[in-house]
Amino acid sequence: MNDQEILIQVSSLKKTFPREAGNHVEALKGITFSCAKGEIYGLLGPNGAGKTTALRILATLLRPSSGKAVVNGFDVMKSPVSVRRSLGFLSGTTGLYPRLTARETLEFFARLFGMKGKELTRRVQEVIHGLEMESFSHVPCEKLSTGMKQRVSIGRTLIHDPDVLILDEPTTGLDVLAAAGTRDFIQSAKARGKCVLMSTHIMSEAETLCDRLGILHEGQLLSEGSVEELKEKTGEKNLEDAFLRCIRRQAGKGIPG
Amino acid sequence: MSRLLDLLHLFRVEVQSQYRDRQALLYGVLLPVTLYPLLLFGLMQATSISAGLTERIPSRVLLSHPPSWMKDALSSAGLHLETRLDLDNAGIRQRLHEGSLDAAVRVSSEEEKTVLQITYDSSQERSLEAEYRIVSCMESVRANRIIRWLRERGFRPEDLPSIEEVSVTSSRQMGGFALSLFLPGFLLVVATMAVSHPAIDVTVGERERNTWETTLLLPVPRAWIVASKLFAVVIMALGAVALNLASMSLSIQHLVSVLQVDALDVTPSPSQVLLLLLAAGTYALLMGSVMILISTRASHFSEAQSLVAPLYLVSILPGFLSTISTLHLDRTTAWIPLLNVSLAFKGILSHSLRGTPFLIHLLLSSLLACFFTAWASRAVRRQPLQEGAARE
Repeated sequence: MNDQEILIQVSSLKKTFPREAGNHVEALKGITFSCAKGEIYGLLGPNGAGKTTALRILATLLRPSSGKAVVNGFDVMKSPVSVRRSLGFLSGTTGLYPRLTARETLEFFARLFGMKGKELTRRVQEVIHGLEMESFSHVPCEKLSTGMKQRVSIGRTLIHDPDVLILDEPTTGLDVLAAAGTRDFIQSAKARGKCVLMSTHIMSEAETLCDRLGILHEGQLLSEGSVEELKEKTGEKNLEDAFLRCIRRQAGKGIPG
Repeated sequence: MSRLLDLLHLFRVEVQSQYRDRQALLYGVLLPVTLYPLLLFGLMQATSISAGLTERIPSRVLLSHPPSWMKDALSSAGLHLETRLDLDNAGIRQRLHEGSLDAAVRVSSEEEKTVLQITYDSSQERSLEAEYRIVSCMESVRANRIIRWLRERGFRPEDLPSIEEVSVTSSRQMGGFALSLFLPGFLLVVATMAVSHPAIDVTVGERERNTWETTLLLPVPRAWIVASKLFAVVIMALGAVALNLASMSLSIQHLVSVLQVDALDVTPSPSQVLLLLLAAGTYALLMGSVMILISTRASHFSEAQSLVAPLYLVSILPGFLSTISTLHLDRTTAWIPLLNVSLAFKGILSHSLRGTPFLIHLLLSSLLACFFTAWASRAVRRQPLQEGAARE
């Protein structure tokens, strides 16, 4: 991996949320990682680890408290619109407009990503065909099944063919078929040379999909590397044990004496 | 140029989405189109039924020392008469309160003058109707007596000076004046109601539908998103106001023609309609921006509805104030937000609108709308921060 290939660069990223009575919660405590072209990087961590916060900062939905995040050469603080143009973001909280049809949704996003005329028609058709959405492309999104909605969401993420894909727990809440379809989509994105950054707490998914993993816990990146490297570092035989060892080691540091 | 196109795309989708919302269609289209004809029909039916019922109410009248001509006149007017000589006030009051009597007439003579004293209960409809019938009957008797008296003395009542009233007001002006008494307040309420649902729907509604984050991921500045939502709200409100205006005008015209009131022409001219829509548009812009700003603070649709509810009351007050005859849109009142809109409506309807105050009102409303939109954009930029905090 050389510097030219890096499409996501996160350096000493911190995020603090204000709480009542002047208190603050440190969701991210200065994490650093990078993700290259053609690579799937997974942020692995329990609930509340800071995965969503990190991804939302990269998608310009949140502002970092300090540190730096660069996506496709654009700083998230300085050029948020350019960052949004460069990436496709998919999460459980990015719903579809219920009153628009699948085709109208794709056309709307395509227009805002600068496509028009024949190029727009061709691209929308390409995505509809590629994701096998022909049978329901004219149906309002509110009437689609979960699996169909997921396909439209993926189509919405891919419509401008972004170089960077950020996926926040992409299979959470999906049935077996829809989850399998989403995993296929992630693997095909990698095959097409996309930079994929995803968060998950499903070990098997992380093991199957990710080239490299970052174990995130309480806002800190505890360890980083491929599945094999993580196993080797912790001396464990499987990823789940390696993950738990990292977490417990960190918890042990916090115990006085 | 491309940014303007982005704004246009956003706006188009917002409007498209709004017009596919059943609730928005109900309040913005169906209700205005059907409400006034139905109200008018109901009102005419109720009036006619009420008149018929009133006509059938028998009036029970107690007479004390009545001359024969009075008995004959009241009897021929259909009143149920009861003659008693031993009549005391306490007894009459008791019977009036009990409802066994509708009115009592006591006749007395003072210095060759006959005085009729009518006792009735003004809180009872039956008693009021009886009093009205007695007075009408006696007025008619008195008028006939005067005419007869004049004729006996060689006068012809037709030779007495007659009164002719000449008003310089045209039927259109009179219609405009009549409309300006109630329509400004009404239009403000209609516009406020028409703004509130879409303003809440495009903000909190999006959050409830889980599409807020999707919208924030669009590759456009946040201010563009808020502006497109505001324009969609204004279009929805203008559509509702225009439909309300058209439906109400047609209904009132029908009522005026049924009642055969030739002195009133309540059809607004095209220029009046355009000016009304212009004023309503800037009002919707201002109210929409405030409601969007308020809605960005709410986490649920119902919470947003509660938060914007005081604005309904705020919008009613200028409507009341505009009925004060001495209050007009001038260079002073044009600087008072909301009141200036109400007075602008009044000026347009009564053909007394002046250019400079109207322009001040348009400018002030637009500037305030820009201020609140900028504030809302700022709130939208900060919004995910709180959501993120809640999630993580």
